[in-house]
Amino acid sequence: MKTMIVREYNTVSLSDSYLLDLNAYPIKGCCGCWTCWWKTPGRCIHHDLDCFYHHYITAEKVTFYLTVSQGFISANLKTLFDRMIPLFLPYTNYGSGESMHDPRYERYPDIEIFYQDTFLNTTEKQIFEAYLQRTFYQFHSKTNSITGKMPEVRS
Amino acid sequence: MKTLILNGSPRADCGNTQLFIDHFQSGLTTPLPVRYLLREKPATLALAMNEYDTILLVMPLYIHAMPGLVMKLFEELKPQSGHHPKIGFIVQAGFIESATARYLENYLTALAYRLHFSYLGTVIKGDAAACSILPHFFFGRLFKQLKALGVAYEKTGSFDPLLVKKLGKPVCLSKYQVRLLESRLVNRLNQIGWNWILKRNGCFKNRYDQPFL
Repeated sequence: MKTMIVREYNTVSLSDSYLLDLNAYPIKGCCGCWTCWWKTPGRCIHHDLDCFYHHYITAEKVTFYLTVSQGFISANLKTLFDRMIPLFLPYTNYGSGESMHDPRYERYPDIEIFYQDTFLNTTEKQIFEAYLQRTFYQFHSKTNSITGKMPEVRS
Repeated sequence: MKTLILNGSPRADCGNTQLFIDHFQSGLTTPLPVRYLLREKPATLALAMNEYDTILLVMPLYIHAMPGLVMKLFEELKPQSGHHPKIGFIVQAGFIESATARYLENYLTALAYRLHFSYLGTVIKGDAAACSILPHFFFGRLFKQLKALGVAYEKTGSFDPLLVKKLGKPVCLSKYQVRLLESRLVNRLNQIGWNWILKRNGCFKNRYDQPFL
């Protein structure tokens, strides 16, 4: 099974799995130009994520190891999500009873998420988990699990 | 009351967000200062925010939440001590129903609480993607509502709840709206705009390209 890892913590990596280490890889921001939809369909004007796009779209499963930042996902991960819009079409469908962008590809990977639980309260945690569920639903992926763990304290 | 408007759009002053700010400002007797997240370092803006007692952050909805550069600013903010400045948000979204922004609205409420800001609320307007593309007369009603929002803000220092409710409609699509939008005719009409631009840019035949397989 082809897999991929996107991590903000942990040192996990697999020899046959593509790794995107968000701590070492600041992602260029989406500039809102829509070039990826109406000038070069499916391709962003920035090319820093071309390798990621290929591995993401051909993986069967993507595992995320996420940190919590200000009670939400980090700015770098949010930038990655913003930049994933070329993987979908501009056209909208309403079959599910709400607006959804049509898929550009036939299939999208299943998602597994682990995160470091540093929330101030359960409301923040619910917002974080609901947001991730929703995002991958919009991305036509199935979220298998979202698991929070308290960060380890090293003495 | 000293208010700062922050434009959280990656397109700075040439997108829908700026149009929202301009029409909100048209309802004020004295225009408010506007600063752009795209043009300044998040740490600089976070520091500048301390000089104001109210912050209005206007932004587009990107993937059900704030654009990455807005989150960069949020990461720089520290909990307020002593006084509790006010913060309010205006979000413009592409999808018709405002429910697509509820994840962001929930987070912004929690963020204000976390940082000890007094929360003014979040104004959400869907179906705004074409504001800066189509002729402005298509959006006359929206622009009037934004102006009225500005008028009310200047009077009360808060968002008029009735206008917030109006701008947020529809919250969800009704079954009738879904049937209509899914009908072949409306579906084709919805695609006309995209297809016209794709044809103009000479890439209509590539619209379904899958470059990363």
